[in-house]
Amino acid sequence: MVLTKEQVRALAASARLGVSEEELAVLTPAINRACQAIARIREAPVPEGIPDLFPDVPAHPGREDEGRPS
Amino acid sequence: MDKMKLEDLRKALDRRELSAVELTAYYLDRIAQHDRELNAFITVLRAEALQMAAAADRRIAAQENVTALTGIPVAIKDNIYTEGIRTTCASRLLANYYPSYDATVVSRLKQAGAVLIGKTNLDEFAMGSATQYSYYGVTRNPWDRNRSAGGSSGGSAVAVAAGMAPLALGSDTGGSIRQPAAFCGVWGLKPTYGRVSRYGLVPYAPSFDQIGPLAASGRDLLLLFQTIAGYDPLDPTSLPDPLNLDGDLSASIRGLRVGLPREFFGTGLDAGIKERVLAAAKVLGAAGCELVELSLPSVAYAAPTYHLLAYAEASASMARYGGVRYGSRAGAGRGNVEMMTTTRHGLGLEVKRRILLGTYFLSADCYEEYYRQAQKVKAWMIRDFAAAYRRCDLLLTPTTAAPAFRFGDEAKEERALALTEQYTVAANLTGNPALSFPCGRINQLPVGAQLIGPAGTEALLIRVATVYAESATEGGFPGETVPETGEQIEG
Repeated sequence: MVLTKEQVRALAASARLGVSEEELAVLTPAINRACQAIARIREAPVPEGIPDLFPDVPAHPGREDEGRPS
Repeated sequence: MDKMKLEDLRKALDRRELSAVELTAYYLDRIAQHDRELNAFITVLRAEALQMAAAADRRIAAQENVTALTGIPVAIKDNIYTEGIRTTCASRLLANYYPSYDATVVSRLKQAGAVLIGKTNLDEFAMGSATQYSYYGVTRNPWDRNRSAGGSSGGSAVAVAAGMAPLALGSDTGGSIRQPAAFCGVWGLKPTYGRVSRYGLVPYAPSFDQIGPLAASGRDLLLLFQTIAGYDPLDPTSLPDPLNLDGDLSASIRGLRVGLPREFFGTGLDAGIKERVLAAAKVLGAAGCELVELSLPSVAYAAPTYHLLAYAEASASMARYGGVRYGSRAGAGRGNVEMMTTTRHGLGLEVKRRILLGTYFLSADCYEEYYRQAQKVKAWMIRDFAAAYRRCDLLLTPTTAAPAFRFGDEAKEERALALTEQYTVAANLTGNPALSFPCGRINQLPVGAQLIGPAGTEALLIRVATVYAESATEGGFPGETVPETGEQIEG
């Protein structure tokens, strides 16, 4: 995946993020480098039966939500 | 005085051989002497610290609620809320932001009678690994001013390493306490997720962020950790379990199984660091630990998984800086969207890069292929580590792949950071506690080793590292060799 300067400009608009032309020129290749490095996770040989959003071994065991007066 | 251990300072304070005001004045002088060059502090609390020290002296004189930290100065990373004290997150956006309440960790320090001596530098909103993306300038490594102090808690690590504070608080999202601790030759702990309240910590990636202590020894580190840890109803992710904070650091470690995961000792690791960490393993072996070689295949994907998830969370966390509630507001826009866009123009480039990447990976096009896959890799890693803990009690690894890198060599910097992250982010993805402790030097630059354990094993990690430090013959205690002149080191 390679993002163009126009696509990064559109991303900035959807993120409500003001970026200048100079910043876009620096950010576009930097974002593409990061995307390239991250794309590797698609190849991760995740074993069968691993859940995605709710792992059975909780890393972050939060307590149950409780209603409280504000 | 900066070479005195906390327990010696405590004794001196309790015997009235030293007052908290004198101790605080000493550290304030150290800051005045060294910080112009090192830039570890964004805000020095001279007047406030002396007032708090005077209150601590009254408390000690009256023998009222004197704790291990009464009268002891502590530096606070500047992304942790301090009531009425500027909290900038090293951002131009929050240059004049004064929180109206204290973070829970700060309240606990105040209750213990600690002295807040200053707010330390960081990468803007803790997004970085070298304390170089700060609106307030770069923090420099006291061992070599031309090298990185690490980050994002670089200011806190330098404050302790250079004897400008005996203790400091940092925050760790992907290694931000442990990596600067390793680069600066001090101790740094990322607690179990939920063990220390995040209430009042400015969020970067809330499912990974943890506040933790930095100190010059394991004993000092434990005292600070014991003060800040524990359940907090104000943090919905706070762990309700009773704490196991067994403070007996001299208890035997005989029979403990120490795992050496081969993925942490492979290609890219500096040969000197490998040698020193394996030497530390031998010391633990000689103390009666069983060394177990094992494999954690999921770790190969730790860095990209962490980055994707952290960027996604960062893009959500940063949405609050729209010019309405927090910090500065840029210009009078035609509406909320324009006001938010214009205000956020004031963020630094690195923060913008992360927000854009997070926005991209949360988009419909990427959600399935990337975001869900990252969550699966994270779940795999949690299982992988849980399986490892059936074979060993804790893991020993290097903290970083190389010693502190020289500023300006971007290619080397990028390589070193990529490798370094692989070693530290695994503990954030799994929620496990992880400790970095000094294990010698290479060309005068400190080397850090890391211990990672199952949830709730902070005291055990500190105990094992303390056994190593107290039996090691080389460079176990950075306080013994605090750099004064910042001699230039080649290499």
